[in-house]
Amino acid sequence: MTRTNLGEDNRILFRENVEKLIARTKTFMTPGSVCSGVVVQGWWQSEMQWARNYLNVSADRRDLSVRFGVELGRASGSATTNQIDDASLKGVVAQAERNAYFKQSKAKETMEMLPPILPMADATVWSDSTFNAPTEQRAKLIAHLTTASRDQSLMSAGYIELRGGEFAVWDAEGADPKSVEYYTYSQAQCSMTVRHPKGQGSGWAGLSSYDWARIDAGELADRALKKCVASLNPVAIEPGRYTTILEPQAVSQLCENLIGALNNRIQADRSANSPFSLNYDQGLRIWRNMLGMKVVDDRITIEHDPEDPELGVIPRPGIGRIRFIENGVLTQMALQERRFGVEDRNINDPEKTRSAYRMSGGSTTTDEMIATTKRGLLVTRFGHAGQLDGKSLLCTGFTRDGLWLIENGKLSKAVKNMRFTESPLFMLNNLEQMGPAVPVFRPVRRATTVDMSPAIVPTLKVNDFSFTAMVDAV
Amino acid sequence: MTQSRRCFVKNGVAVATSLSVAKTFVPTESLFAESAGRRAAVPSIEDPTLKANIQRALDAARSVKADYADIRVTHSFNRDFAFRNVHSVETMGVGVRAMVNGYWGFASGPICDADELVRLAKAATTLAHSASTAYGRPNEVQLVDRPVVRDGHWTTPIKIDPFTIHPSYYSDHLGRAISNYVTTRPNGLRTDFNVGFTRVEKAVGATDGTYFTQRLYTSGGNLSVVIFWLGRQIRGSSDIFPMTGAGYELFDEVALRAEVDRVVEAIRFEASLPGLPVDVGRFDTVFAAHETANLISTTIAAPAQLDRALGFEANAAGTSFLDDPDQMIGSYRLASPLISVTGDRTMPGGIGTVAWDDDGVVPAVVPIVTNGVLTNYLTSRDVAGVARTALPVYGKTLTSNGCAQSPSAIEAPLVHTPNLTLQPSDSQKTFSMLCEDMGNGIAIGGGVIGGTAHPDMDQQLLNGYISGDIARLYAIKNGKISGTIQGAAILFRTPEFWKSVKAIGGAASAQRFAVQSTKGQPGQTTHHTVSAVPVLVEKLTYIDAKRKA
Repeated sequence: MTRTNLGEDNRILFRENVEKLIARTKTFMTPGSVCSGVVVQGWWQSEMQWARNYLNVSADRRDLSVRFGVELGRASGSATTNQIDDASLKGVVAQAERNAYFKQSKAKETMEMLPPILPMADATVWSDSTFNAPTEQRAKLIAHLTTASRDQSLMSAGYIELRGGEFAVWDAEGADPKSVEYYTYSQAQCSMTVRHPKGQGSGWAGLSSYDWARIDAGELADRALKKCVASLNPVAIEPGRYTTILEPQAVSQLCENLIGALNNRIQADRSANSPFSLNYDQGLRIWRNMLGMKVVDDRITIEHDPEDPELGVIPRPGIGRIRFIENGVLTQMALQERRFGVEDRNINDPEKTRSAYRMSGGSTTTDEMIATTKRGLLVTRFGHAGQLDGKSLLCTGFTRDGLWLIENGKLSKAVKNMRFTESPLFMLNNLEQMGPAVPVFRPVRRATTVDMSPAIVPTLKVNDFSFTAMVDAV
Repeated sequence: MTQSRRCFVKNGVAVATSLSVAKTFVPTESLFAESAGRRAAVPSIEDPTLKANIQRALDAARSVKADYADIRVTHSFNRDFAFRNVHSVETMGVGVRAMVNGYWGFASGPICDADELVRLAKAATTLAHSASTAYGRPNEVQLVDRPVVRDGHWTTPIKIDPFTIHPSYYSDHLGRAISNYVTTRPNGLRTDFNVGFTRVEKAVGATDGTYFTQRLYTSGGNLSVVIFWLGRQIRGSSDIFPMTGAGYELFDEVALRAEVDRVVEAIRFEASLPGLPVDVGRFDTVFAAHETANLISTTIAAPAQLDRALGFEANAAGTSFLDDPDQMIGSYRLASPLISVTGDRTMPGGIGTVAWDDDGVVPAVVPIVTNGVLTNYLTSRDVAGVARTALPVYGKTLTSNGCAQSPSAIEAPLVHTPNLTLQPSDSQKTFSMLCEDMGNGIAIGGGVIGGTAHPDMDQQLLNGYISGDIARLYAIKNGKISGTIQGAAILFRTPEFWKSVKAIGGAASAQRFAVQSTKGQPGQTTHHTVSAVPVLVEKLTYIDAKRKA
């Protein structure tokens, strides 16, 4: 029995061990079986979670998975394990074979699948400063950060996560069936909430990146604390339409569904339920989309560029730079990334999902925006932005962790949180001023997810942003 | 499906196979069992070697000066069946939690051998030491006492182990049978019936001598039916088989056919209802049992998690409007006197039912709200320990009520919501009787078209929003459904909502549902069973969801 050590020096397996693991797994196949593919994923995370000004849990976690696929005629079967001893691998291969047999015996018609979109060979988004950051240093950093909150009788809670991962695919129908596609990635995130112990104020700051060195935890802590202090004892104001300054985090949260729609060309081409579908052409019996038409303010450009060094995404073959919106005009759309069935093969569009994006920015600082506002609101972030309507992208949610009234060019008072009902398209069509585009907090949502979704967006000052109800939670 | 048929499947597939298929290879039950001659590397959860390895690792934690340590090992099997598909996942996890001066260190991984357990124990202790050193003073966390568990073992009571069921049996006798049955119904087109099973084997050991193992099963299924009606295809869904702490006996072909008939009839009725515009204002509302279950879980149980109330989740899932336990416990009126909610991880058939929680605590039946008054919070050993010092009134004698849980050993335990029960009224009221009592108003849920309403809450779980586009809203006139309301939403504040409950259903209207909840950083998702009845709430605020300011 062979066992691969996952000890301190092997947080992940790395290429050589993964290739051996895949080769070893394939030796357990029943003669005559056809392996369709093997996917190996591994990840390591160092996590520090603090609350009530104390480091609550310091964790070191790692896991892996081996997914083995078998083809039997047009049916396929797969099984997954996270064990890498011979007996377990033999078991997962046998299970995949049995699952394929079952599917073959039941299959009437199996949809043909295109091969998965693999990362480029040896592609990486890697930061040694993420993977090798000393635990002791971060513990001391958190002790330092929480001291400032404690000194002001406030409560700090937060989370730092550093992650290194790997993804390997051997695909029988891949570009090179003799080799294993392999890549590594790193991710880092830091966020914190500083609250008044009686719930009279709250401030938040956060940032994610592939590179821990790009995250200044001290600056984030300082910002969260200042926001908490400035948000104390909020007053209620009437809901309504306000000139609103949205900090980059709020902009990115409201744009989530817009990015989804830009990545869903099929919907725009085939239905009325996309903001970018135009009308049904009765003569040609097709839906017209809005490509080439102006959809937002001239100053807005939104693009996905795998080579953007600040963005940090894993390059994939066939997925190059795509400019969704250029100077307000809808210029390109992408398809949802999935394993397309036969019917989708005819679509001559090589583009796949790009959830990571950069939005163009301006040069106006937040202070300048405030100074030029007679009456308006400054929003830190939203607690939630749920979509109400797919066609207009109308969303609803609420503000949190800092909302201030601006009067005569100055922040006049903290105000109670409010529910908003607004569309990102309306927001991007009612721009007044734009700040520089900066990275925001947009980490992967689950430990098992590989794809990263960084975003770089500006602060926006927009007119007539719609707040529909008061929310008295802090 | 009859019992004798089940027994045949369970006990006689191998015999049947040998008799009937001399030429064609058919995989037998034994071939599908995980124990088909390959488990040498992963011993049974009751294997004494595992206990010895865990004890050795606990000794290693002590040797590097851990004040306390506990170890969890989980071996999980998941199997999902669809009509023509099956997928299997098997995972192991090992997690070690070590405490030094009140600071937790946690280390986990997938490999469960003796050396790796020792490495994880030392790593967790080292992490706790580094946190303690960085702060230079003890943390406020302490563990409240609990009786030591010595070599306990518990298994979810089930009749038929789902992992002994051959996929072809499921496919032929549930999937295909129901699929064909639907086509015999008037206008019936097709059905989807997917089932899923899990078995989690768990071993827990701690430095105070506690050691126990548990084998936990869940089974559940989703049924949806599509019919051609009024010139279009319409899908209806059933929640007859929510995920439950049970085995394959949960599924009953006869009950499934009856449910298909009910869903087909319900689709016809609901699809033929006229659509009505939003009428903004305040209306009495009847919530179906499933919607009530989601509301109880989100607006009563989650705010009563003591870690949320104390601020441990401030940067993650959020805090709680029940944030002053010393002042609120025993006196804060959260709801109408009709409302009593208990948490119960001993509920037979509950998804969250265990003999011991992940701290080794025997779960208590927790009266969270009694006759409308907040009476308890949900706790674990460490959170109750913090309360001992942070909450001089409520925390003074506080113990854990057994809510420590983690989805797998890879993740550190947190306070999670237990199974919940909304006590029914003494009446015989059902959903439709409550609608009749209401006379004119709105009903939410209870249909088969559309989904189930989940309230969208703020970070303190104080203000809520329920979209009327997910679960259908029905206009009620003179006690009868007169149409569906489109584009409306409900705005509410949690205490005012529950205080406005005017009537609740009786025991006959109680139903069980599986409810999911997520919290923590990194996020953890667990499930619990909620037993709920319909409720009638007075004067809820309705808005036009798409109307801007």
